[in-house]
Amino acid sequence: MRYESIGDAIGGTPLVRVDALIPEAARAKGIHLYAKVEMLGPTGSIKDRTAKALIDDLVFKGLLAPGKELLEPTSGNTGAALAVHAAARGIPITLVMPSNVTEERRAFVRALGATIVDSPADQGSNGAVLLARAMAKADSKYVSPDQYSNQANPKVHEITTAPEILADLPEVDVVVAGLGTGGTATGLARYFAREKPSVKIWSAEPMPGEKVTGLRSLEDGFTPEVMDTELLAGRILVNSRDSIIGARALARATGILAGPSTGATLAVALRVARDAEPNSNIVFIACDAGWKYFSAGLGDGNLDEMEDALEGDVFWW
Amino acid sequence: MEISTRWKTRSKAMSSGGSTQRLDSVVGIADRPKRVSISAEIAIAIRAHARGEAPREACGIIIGSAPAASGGAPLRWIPTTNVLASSTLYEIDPAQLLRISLDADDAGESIWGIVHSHVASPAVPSVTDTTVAGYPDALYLLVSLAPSQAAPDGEPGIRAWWIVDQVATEVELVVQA
Amino acid sequence: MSINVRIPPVLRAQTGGAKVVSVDGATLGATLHALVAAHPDLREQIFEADNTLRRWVNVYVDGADARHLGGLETPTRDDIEVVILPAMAGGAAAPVGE
Repeated sequence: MRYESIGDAIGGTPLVRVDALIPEAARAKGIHLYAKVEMLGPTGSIKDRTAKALIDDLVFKGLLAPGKELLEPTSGNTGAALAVHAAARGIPITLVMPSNVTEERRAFVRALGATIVDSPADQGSNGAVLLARAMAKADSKYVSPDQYSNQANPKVHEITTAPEILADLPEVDVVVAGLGTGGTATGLARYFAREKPSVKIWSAEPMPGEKVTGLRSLEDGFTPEVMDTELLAGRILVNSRDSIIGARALARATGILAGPSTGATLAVALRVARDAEPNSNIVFIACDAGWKYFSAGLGDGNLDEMEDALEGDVFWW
Repeated sequence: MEISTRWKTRSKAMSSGGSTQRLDSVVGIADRPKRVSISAEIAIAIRAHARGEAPREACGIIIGSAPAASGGAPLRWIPTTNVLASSTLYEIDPAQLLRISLDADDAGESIWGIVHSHVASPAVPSVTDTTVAGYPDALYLLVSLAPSQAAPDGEPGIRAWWIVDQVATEVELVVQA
Repeated sequence: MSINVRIPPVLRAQTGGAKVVSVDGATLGATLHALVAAHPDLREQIFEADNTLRRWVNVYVDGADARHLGGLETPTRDDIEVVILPAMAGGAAAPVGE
């Protein structure tokens, strides 16, 4: 397949059956489990789609004229994906992230030519958001894609991620997605409500609290504008420990080496499978690759020690 | 094909600081044809182009004897390049647009219809569509690749709209046998 | 200087039906301002409130997209042909302008 830009080489991701993960009782009921493997894009995460859609949106509106620069607070996958697309399109980009974000993530975006501005480590993602806002207010050259409120975020999943699932698996009954900004889950829900209303959308979410900073936690009252949870059949919180266990099980049973948020999504999918109707087909989104998390102990770190080291926000956004 | 109920969408001004774009339409809505038709050949070609460009939005122009709003007849379909190469946005290649527009004008022909596809949603103009539409006398044809929007024969559904002053009004579309 | 600006059918209502308007201007921007001075109803089609080129209008100088030349700063000379065309764009994307 030929493309004019790496940024265009997104989407069309594989749907892989992973029945080996299903407990015997569920398998006996004819339940099938599939992973939508979003880790195979230019940056190895579902954010490849989101980042392209966000930048496309800004370009379409004429907001990225020469002299403008992208600015986004993100220590996670969105930053990496934005850095790839920005490099491919010759758009300068600055990412604001807490100073204690892992070196792999910082090196990745620096290698793509992104500028990093540190925000105070002890203020977490909140601090990054506040600093980015202050920077944008002080200098009009900055334009923010703003994944939390830009409707291009859920729209890209409604228009690309969801239809791919239905095309590959017309018999789909349930789709489980991680809930960070809520863009994926919202987009999936809107598409299926129109095309196959019997499909239930479930979300896996990180636990609120210290490791998931206040700005991000739904329990603490912040709901991203792009999120519409009314369409969801259910939402389940998953802690870091179970996320890691899930990611390890996925890797060892199927060869799909994904990150902790995928582990959480799998955990929810298995919970749904436990109670599902016979012959149900369940899809979960494997949203990012696991290699970024080795330094945090994803592979074989001690779970008790790891929980303190894990940054909940890094996994989900 | 049944006549759909009137559909209206409104949107705010497109550009930062810009005023709402108002184009004086030559032909009032009430004076326009209540039904428009395209040949089977053109419909087949439009559908094939939409399918072929998926998962990106497809786009193209139908040249006619006069604008659709004035009762012109469609003459030929010209597929174009979507320079945005996006699944949710299109822009007809400006260089192609220039060539097509000048050739039509020189030949005494008109822009009859502007066509694009929605790869996973209904063939209904979005707020993006109604905000940017700049040819009020042209017919806006939308093709949907969403399974639920297929025509009775299973082919991608095509719907037609006037878009004037950022309001979309559906028109009955007949595909000739 | 005499620069011919070719007006497409969709914009002729704003020029009283004129297909070609001849104006002077040392740059493309000056040329377009002269055009708008002669036909004020064209202003909204061509310029934003801050006098930048509207996002959804294409302007060509001798067949080349002005955005690939110097934009409104593109120098002009006698006998060039300027063409103005509203863009054709849209899509299923999120609402515009919000």
